[in-house]
Amino acid sequence: MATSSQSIDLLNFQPDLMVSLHSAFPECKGFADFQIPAFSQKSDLVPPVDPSYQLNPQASVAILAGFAFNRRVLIQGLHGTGKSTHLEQIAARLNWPCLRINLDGQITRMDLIGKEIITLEDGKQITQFQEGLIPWSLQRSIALILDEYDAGQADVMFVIQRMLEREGRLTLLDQNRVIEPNPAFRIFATSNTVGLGNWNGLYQGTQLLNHGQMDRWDIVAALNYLEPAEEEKILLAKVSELSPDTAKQMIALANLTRKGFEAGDISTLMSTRTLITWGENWRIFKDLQLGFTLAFLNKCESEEKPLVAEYYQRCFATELVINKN
Amino acid sequence: MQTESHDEVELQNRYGAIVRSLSGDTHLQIRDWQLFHKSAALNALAPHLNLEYLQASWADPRGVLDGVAMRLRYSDYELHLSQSPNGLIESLVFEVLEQIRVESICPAGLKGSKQNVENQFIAWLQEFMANGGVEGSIGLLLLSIFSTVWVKLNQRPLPQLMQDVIEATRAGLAAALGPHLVKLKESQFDQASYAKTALEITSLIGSLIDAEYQNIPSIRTKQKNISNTFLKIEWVQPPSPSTHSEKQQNHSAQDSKKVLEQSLGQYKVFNSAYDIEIEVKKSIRPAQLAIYQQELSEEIAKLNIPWGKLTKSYQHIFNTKTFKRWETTQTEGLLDRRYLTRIATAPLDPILYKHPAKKIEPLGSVTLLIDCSGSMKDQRLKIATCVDSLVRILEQAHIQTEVLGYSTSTWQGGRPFKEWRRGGQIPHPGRLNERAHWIFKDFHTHWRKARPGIAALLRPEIYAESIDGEAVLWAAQRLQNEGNNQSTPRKLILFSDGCPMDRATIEANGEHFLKNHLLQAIEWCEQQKNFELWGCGIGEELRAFFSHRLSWDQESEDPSESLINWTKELKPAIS
Repeated sequence: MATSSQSIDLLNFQPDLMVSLHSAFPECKGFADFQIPAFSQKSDLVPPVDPSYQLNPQASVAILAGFAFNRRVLIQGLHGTGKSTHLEQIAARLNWPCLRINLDGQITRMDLIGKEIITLEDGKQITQFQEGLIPWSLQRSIALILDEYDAGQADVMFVIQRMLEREGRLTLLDQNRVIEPNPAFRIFATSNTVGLGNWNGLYQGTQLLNHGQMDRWDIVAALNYLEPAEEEKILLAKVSELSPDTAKQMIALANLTRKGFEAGDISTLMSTRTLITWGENWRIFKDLQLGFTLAFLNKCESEEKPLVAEYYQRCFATELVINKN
Repeated sequence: MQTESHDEVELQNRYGAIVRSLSGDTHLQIRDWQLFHKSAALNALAPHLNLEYLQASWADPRGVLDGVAMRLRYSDYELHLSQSPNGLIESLVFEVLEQIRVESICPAGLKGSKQNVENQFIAWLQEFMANGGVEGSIGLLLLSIFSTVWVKLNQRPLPQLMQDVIEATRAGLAAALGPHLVKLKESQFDQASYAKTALEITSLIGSLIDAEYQNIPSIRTKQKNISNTFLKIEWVQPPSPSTHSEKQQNHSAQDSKKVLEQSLGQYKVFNSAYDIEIEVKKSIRPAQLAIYQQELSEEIAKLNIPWGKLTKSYQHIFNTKTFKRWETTQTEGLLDRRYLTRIATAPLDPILYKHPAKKIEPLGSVTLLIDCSGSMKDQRLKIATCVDSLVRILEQAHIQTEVLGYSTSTWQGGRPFKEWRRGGQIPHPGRLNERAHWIFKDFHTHWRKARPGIAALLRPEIYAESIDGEAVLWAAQRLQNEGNNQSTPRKLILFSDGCPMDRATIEANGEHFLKNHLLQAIEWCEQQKNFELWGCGIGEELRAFFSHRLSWDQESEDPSESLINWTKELKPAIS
């Protein structure tokens, strides 16, 4: 990581533009206007802009406040609501370099802080300290996104805790070095639960968050599934051959699975991503049922399939054929 | 124990799931073919949505479910109730008109639902006609109104035969109804203003019916009284808004808990000095116990129970999905590549191994509570085989179990009853019998050692009268106090056939004394966290009060079938 070959040196790269909330993000017109720093040049780490992506105004304004005023923003929501994508799309519009770390249970303290590695220098083996992702990004103009924040191990979380304080310095014990954060360094996180651990048994592998940590997040935004009309816009933008009627029926079906999931009747739900895959499958196979079977039905447990077939009948008025094998 | 078949339980669960998804309300349930929201029954639905039709051959179950769901989703129940007019027919018409409205605004995305509700409505009209519903003038009038409104709102034609039947009545009504119909169509999406027009129509119908019977007043009153049967429509007038709102207030948050605790506290025991709580096996001669055990073992050996398969399934149900993680920086185990550099940097401290964290914790606790009332005596062998097998399977799946039972030590009230008699029979003495709580197996005895205890279920003498409410609370509190970890799931399974029955107590305190206490105990259990109360074999009178039920087949000889069915029914419950 430390020796990444980039055309722009992120160490001394600072925002050089100021854009206003209302002009750059017309979705957020309903909120008070403020100025947001942005970059005029695109560097390698800036994610590509997806023009069909629909920003949720409330979540957007929370994230933008994080960018503008250096706030720590935690975004919470069920899976498939597009939490990470939402962050990336805002970073893309601001040209802000962006780095995503998935905090699964296997990430250790050493991966984040850094570790000794053995290298060859003048034909001799020497050990050398290699900075981990956190000290590396802390010194650069980067928006660090910690994905699945609630799945991280407790010792890892305490490494992060130090960075959560604004202008919080990071002490590298192994090197006797103190790192000052870059003024354009930002930190965001996404989680499925609000620090309450394995809520309802839905999210396997999530941990209870230390309350001291929860407290350090300045802004906690919730991202729910999109309104049907918004979702229809996305679906039609991604799969333009679909008729609006079919799209409505597909979205109605997705909403039934979401309700069923909420009530605990089925264990899988259709996210916007599944809807798009379904539409794309339909484009390939020219068969709505086959596309659905491949995109969603086969993910369901066999006991749940009859219920999903009932949902399908409700939306399309045709019977869904379930292959018993 | 009374029969409630597995298929029936499963079907109701599936139907409930559909209504939950379509209506978006996760607290709905279908219990014993009635619709429940949490613990309150929702009965006042339009006649074509009677849940009993789910099993009728002419009806479209999908249409019934979708209709119910649409109603709950697109109509404000409170608003509707508050405006519902007095009078049997008036309230019926108001209800049906609202139902026709919500069915007509079914969104385009739910094309299938739209078809289902239309099919069901027409099927019901046809069934109503076929059963002679239009032979009376009120029936014909209602049918004409319903179908005219339906046609107007849905913009769809009715079958020709039906059009012919209502033609004359419809034509007669046209002038009076016409302007209202236009208004109904305009306010299709606005419940409040639609209700205004609907009320105008109900009063119009009310006056028409009054006019019809005006000339013969003696018949008029009579007809009105029997109009329910005369109409061939089952209709119970919804509760008046005032009582409903009172109930609502009680329901709010903490209050309901307090009210419940208060009423539980009002339950009295006349004299608890003779109550016992003992291990049954200690009261049986060892030789006799051995015979019981032999009998039970032979019975189980006869059945081919797939132990391994069932153990896996039950493990799956109770699995709390604890996260298996690696323990790193260990001195032995698998090499952890991330720490390889330590060989060079810290050669004397070789903590570079990892191994998976091993920790077996009980994944849950289950109490089986057996009603030892006289009526259960005949089925004691089957119950004992089920209980013994279930305990064996659950313990293999790392789930702690306890087996408890309850009855009375004597019949006819025993010593407390005699004391009460001697003391002048004061009114409302409270429970009057010698309560007996039996322990067949506790949490800390392993199944293998507890077998003689479970075999004691075969002793006929323990079966007497039953005081269910106290027993449920006793078992629930024992279950809750078990273990340190309060977050593991706990299930209390009640094997019982019906209402509490203790003649002496009921005679002295009234019929509902014991039953009400049981219902309060059930509600108390529902409020506990990580706690579920399951009923098995419950009779029809109380079945609907159990939100979780297990099937029981009285006829079938094979308990292994029940064990397999239960794995499907014991799924994680909805909140």
